[in-house]
Amino acid sequence: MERRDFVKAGLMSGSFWMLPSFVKAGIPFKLNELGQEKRLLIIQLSGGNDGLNCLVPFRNDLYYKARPSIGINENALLKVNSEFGFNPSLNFFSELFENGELSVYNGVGYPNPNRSHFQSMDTWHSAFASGAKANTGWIGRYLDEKDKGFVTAIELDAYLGLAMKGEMTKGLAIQNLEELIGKVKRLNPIVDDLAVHSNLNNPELSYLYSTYHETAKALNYLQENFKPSQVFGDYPGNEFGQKLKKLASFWCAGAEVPIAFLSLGSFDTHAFQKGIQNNLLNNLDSSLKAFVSDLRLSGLYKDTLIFVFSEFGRRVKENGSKGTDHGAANYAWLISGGLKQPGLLNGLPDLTNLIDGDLACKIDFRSIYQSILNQWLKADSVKILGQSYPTLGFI
Amino acid sequence: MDKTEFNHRRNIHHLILRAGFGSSPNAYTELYSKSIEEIVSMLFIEANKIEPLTYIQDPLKGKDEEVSNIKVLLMILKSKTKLEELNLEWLEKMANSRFGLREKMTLFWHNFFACSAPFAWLMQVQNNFIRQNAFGDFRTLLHGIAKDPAMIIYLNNQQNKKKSPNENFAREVMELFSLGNGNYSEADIKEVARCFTGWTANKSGKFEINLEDHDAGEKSVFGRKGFFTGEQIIDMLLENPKTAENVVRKIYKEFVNVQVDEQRVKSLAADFFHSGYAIKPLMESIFLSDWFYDSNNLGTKICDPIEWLVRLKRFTGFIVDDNKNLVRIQRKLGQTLFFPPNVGGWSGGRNWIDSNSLLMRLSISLTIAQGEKIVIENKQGFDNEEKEELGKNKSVKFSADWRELESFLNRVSLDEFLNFLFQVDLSLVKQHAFVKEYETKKNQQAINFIAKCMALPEFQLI
Repeated sequence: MERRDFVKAGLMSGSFWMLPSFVKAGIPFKLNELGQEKRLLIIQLSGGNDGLNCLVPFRNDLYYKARPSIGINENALLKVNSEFGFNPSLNFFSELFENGELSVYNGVGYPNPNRSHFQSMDTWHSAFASGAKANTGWIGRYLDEKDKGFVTAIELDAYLGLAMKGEMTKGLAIQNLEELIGKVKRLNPIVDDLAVHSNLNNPELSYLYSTYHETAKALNYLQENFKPSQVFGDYPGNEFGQKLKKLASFWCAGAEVPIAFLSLGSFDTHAFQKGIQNNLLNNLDSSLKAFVSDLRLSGLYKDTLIFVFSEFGRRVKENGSKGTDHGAANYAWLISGGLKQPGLLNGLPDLTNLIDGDLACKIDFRSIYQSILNQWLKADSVKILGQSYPTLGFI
Repeated sequence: MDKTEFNHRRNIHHLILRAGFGSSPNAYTELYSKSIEEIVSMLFIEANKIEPLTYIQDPLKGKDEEVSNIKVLLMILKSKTKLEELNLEWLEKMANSRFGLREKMTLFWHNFFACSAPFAWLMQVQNNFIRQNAFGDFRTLLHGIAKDPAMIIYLNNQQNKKKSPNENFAREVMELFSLGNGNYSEADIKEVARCFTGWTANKSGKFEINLEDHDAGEKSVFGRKGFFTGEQIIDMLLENPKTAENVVRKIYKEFVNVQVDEQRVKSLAADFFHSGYAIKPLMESIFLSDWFYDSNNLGTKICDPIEWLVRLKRFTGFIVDDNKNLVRIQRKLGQTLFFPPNVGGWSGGRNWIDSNSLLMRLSISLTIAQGEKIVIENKQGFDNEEKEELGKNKSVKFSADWRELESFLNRVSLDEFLNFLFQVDLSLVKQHAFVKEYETKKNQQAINFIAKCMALPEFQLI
């Protein structure tokens, strides 16, 4: 069986658990081929961000009719043109838009949308069909595909999300680098002296040892490449801002960790949405402003793509508590100094043809993944996503 | 100790680790003189005793059902926060049992019928139902789970109505609970969903069929036409030997090996099917078989976080400063009782292991031995409810008692001690420098040496 067929068969049956090592060994390892010069930052707005209040179609009466108390007044918006404007908390986003460094798609979602946070998040992370029970994610399978180690992808969190888990290879979750390094330092003299670990005839034990060694190696590499003096941006002092600062410290110091994943939450604004969402957006906006300024200074910006998503959008009509309930399709945001097609690429959301009160899906989110995998990371998206989707032109 | 005795003990450890949660050295001592057959029968004698979870009070107790429906509903809703307490009660039950075979089997069914409805009372009812029937027959389990209020809520069967069918339950009951993927069509799912329309949980948290919402028309399922009810569908699923095969394959993966021997599964499944889905004889035949003790089944399972936590508890009798921290540790390691990730349950095996969970598992014995605290970060949640905890790290302080392990190490030969602690080939363990050093010089403190042994990846395999 060809590797392609093998992986595909695995995707179909949901059990490509055991890629035999000869399959892995057959892949040549060339840095340039792996698209190492391109960087990708994925930002997850956990809880379901209300996109409609981020980029507002203020000419549309249906918007204000559906949202008498939480609709944003035309005068308060950061207007881009006579049709739409940004939420006042998204100053930097509006700036990026003017500069041609932001691409936006509306109606991004998937068929048969699930309105459970966890199940919808699983769908976005795995890129499998809604309701599939996945134990790998799209970035994880990219790592499998490229046969890359831990140090390729990091998640700045204490827990590794599904998106970063492959069958054979996983990203590295880091909340507190020093603490993890402390653990490894303590364990190394105990664990590390077993030289034969790769030839063990117990495959599970080999797996534990190789995971340990990859982790230790990656942490060591990151520690060496962590130089806080390299960043100058004005990052907010909160957790999210500081995580972005840490990422900038790795990247600007030259660490070859091309993929990073970061979450901000909670956007689950069932009640009193305005204040909660504005604070979160403000945090996102000012953190990214600092981050992008550091990327510019270090010359990385044109080779960095920042992809911002949420597990779902929210109901168009506000609820009785000045909030919104779980919705479906939503905007997807792409920021880079190297976009091919910036702007609002497929128009404003259609507030007339709603499905169960939610925006309809016009673009499958996997089309965005496909572009990122093919155009940006130079990977074979069909192997990773299991099929091909309509092409998009933002990069 | 001669080779035969060495292997006999190793087999006993294997049985106790897989059918239960491992044992402390002293508890093993009286088992070593017994045969596998005798110990298997001891396991089942203990398992005959059924002790349900009792933390949550029946909200209906002493109340007039008609009058207090709304009140009861509110009480059930309020009990959402009690799930963690229920989690701890169960964990304690596992840790305090002698062998814990019934709890192990209940844990298996908890993963098989994975469910996480936010109502502690209903989850307690469900858990006690699967505990009660853990060794009975699968027919009773499947019929019961289809009528289980927590499962009905979890799989949206509340929304499954004649006018607008919801296919969630229909899909999962076939894919996960019976036939397995590929043994039914999408059209079957639609028709099966119709058969379960109106199956609901009422305001008192009890199962009922709402006839107004039930579609009593003719359906076409698996190429057969009829006015099928939900019960008839369950029977049809049980008539298909694929159901037996799916159940047995999952049991094999959990209790024997994630690498499935298909021949063996098929033969076990045939017996299981012909016995009318009797679970106890199936489990007995596994534990009494020769192949269960084959070397490629020994020390090849990456233990579940719950198995790991309970074994640690049995070895060191540790306690933590705040019991809620035991739930946080489960979350950190990726397996929280009553909170499976989705209806597919925990995937197990290598899926337990990422860099964080591995470093935590490996270093915890060292941390405990040094009397240090363990830092647990709070997971970034979706719900505002979890938000208050966000970003606040918890320090967990353990108090452990190492005396039993210490005196065991001092009493027996190093080989005997290592044979007790590890299920993998001991020649591997003995290549580690600190083990060699201990063997020749015996100059390390016993507690430190034991903690180091438990910090080895080899200790993660049972």
